[in-house]
Amino acid sequence: MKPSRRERAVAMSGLGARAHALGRLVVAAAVLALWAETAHAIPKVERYVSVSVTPATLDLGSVPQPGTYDSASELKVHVTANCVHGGVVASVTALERAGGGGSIGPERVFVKLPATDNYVAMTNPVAVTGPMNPGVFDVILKFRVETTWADDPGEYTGTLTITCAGAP
Amino acid sequence: MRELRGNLAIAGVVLGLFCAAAPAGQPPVTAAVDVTITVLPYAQVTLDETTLDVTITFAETETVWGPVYIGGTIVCNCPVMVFARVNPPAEAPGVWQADTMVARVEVPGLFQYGNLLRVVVWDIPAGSGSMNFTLGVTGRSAATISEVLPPNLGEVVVTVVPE
Repeated sequence: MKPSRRERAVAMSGLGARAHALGRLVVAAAVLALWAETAHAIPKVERYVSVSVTPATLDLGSVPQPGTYDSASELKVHVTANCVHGGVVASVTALERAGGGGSIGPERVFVKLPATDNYVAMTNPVAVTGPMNPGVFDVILKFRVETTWADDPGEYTGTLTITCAGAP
Repeated sequence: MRELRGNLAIAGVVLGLFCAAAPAGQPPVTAAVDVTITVLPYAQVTLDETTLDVTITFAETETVWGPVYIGGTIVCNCPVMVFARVNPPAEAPGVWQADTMVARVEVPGLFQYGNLLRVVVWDIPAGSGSMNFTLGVTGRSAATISEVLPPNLGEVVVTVVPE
């Protein structure tokens, strides 16, 4: 049985609605693409925080006898930021003796706070500065190590990590 | 209903694009540094009496005196030997002898010694004089240890007075 003229008209009308919806989608996509391109064209300065350290490897020197040893070596932390950020945080791993035989834990490594000149144990990460304003800053860090007669002679190495909290 | 679904899809696409374009919080930035420290071999000898004055009175037939014992403490972070050096006095020539090695430490740690230094004097000449002992420490395998120690750890003065 062939469809009647009315039924064919209704079917044609459904196809027209689909075509219309598809057309709307194409237009919306084109508008979005144009908007995205326009948005990228607008100059925009991203927030950034950068940190670098000097020297790349830090030799704290030689400990002649057990006790408190204040190293003469300094670590310069160079901070560049164009926004307020959380400041400089320092942490250290255990200093492991080359060839085994012991380690110096982070609780026996201390960092000197620039603001107070007090040494703080690095058992946990230490905030050596407070929040910092935009700008370029150099922070000088000094370190203290405590050794005992139980620490075998030799070279101990570890990793010091300087972190700047990201822009809020 | 179909139109509603289509509108929701468009809204989802727009929202996704908007979120992707929004500024996100910057993650922390870090810098890592290799840290090195060197622990030198060390030993410290502490005498119970850093200066010991002994006066000896003896008959002409006596030619040997001693020994005298001096206690002390050794703290070290490596195996060491403790030795004594004798400096005979020029004014009382003769053979003044002390044990060359007075202690041996095999395991690092803290040690109490009751007879760290044993001193024997013989062929004592007539007259009087004094002698000095200088204690030193040497590492059994680390020869540089003596360089980081104070050269004079203690002194014993013995005065001989003929009868």
